[in-house]
Amino acid sequence: MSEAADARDLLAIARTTLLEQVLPALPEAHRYDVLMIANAIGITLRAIEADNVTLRGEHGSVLGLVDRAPAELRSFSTEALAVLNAELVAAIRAGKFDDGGELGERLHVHLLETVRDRLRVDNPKALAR
Amino acid sequence: MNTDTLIRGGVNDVDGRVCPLDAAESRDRLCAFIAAATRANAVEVRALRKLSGGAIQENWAIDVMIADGPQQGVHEWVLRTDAPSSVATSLTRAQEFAVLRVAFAALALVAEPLWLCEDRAVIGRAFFLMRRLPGIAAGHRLARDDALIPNRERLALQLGANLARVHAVVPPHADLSLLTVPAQGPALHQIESARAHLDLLPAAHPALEWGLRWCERNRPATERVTLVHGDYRTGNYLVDHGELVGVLDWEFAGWGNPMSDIGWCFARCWRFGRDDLRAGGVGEAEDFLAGYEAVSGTRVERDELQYWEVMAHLRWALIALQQAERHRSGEERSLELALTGRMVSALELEALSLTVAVRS
Repeated sequence: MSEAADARDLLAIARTTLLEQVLPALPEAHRYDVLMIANAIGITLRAIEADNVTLRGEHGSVLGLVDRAPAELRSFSTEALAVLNAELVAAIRAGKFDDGGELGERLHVHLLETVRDRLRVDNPKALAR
Repeated sequence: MNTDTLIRGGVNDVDGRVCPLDAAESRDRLCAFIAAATRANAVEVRALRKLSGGAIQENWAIDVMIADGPQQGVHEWVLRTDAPSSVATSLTRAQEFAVLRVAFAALALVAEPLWLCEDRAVIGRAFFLMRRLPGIAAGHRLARDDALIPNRERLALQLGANLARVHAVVPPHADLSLLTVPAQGPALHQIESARAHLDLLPAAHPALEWGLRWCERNRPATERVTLVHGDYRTGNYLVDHGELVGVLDWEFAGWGNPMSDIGWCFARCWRFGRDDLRAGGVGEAEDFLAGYEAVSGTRVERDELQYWEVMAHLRWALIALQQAERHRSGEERSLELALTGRMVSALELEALSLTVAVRS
């Protein structure tokens, strides 16, 4: 097992131990805190699995939605993505996508995919509903 | 922990901070305040218990014995005061007290407000006293436990009818001069306010921005302006023996579009897992609306209602982002605040599903 996979496995067993061994033995007053901790570990595990793959996809997609992105933003980095998202927000507010059409459709697809990617990490059960 | 320890023993509150009500001097001054208000010679605090819920205020259950005068006897009240962390957009205790008095006079179901005290010399913060109501407010219990609500149709009717009584209060109102009517209309005011708050956050949120732009372009041409509760949802009202007893937490009340209150109450995010029960996870939408329309005498436009459900998800997403930022910035490190930020993607997906399906 690689170091990263071993670390994920460590988190997974920590979560299982918390829910199966610790929670049943605790007074009711601590139940909510423990469930929150288990939730946080679950989110972290899924976030590690998602890695940067989805962010790279988001970066490529948002490049197609903003005008004339400078060269330094065309290569993926989390900083570049943040700048591009700020430009996308400005374009949305300015009404660039109001007329719908092909551009509006691409924005909708981009937003839905981006939000679903994040929901897979935050709460996959909500995605299933 | 018995009552004596709570009152006398220098006890810390839930967060471990010493609270002013605990000090004997504060309690004595509180008794003096109550004695003056009730024209009594002696008042004794029999019990004092902090109630759960509310990060912006503190609520204390207080039992008092009034020895003589017109209000002689034992009384069960709630003392409501500011928590250490307050939010700029919520009402002061004085403003909230004024709203409660008006709502009470309009026959809305609410704890009867008794006295407001703005003299910080009493317990160190402004506070007011109101009658204590029975019942359960916990949203997840009301949504899931049918034994608590034997007749969901009846409760939904009551929730709708009660809200219509709140919405019967319209500006200008002599006792609510502390509240301002949004000049640009409630919808645009909420949109512009949301954008201003989003601009204060470190990251951009394209999905929320899309939703706000959609709301800007699809906002109603004309809007009624009435008193709105601002947080009318399951979790903020008490149910006792299946009946609506009173509405809590009026700190977000103000002049607004009454549809915003219904949209907030109906939003999927406030159904506590009972997605099938659109009225707050406790009843059917049409029962709620029947109760509302019977009292208001107006018809609720269902299309306009969906607009306000979109706004509800955007509003709650912004609140969630702000709470997560409190944790991330170090202002208040908290697992609960951090996890609240993880609710945003589900709220964004719901807003997108409602707006992309109904395109402008």
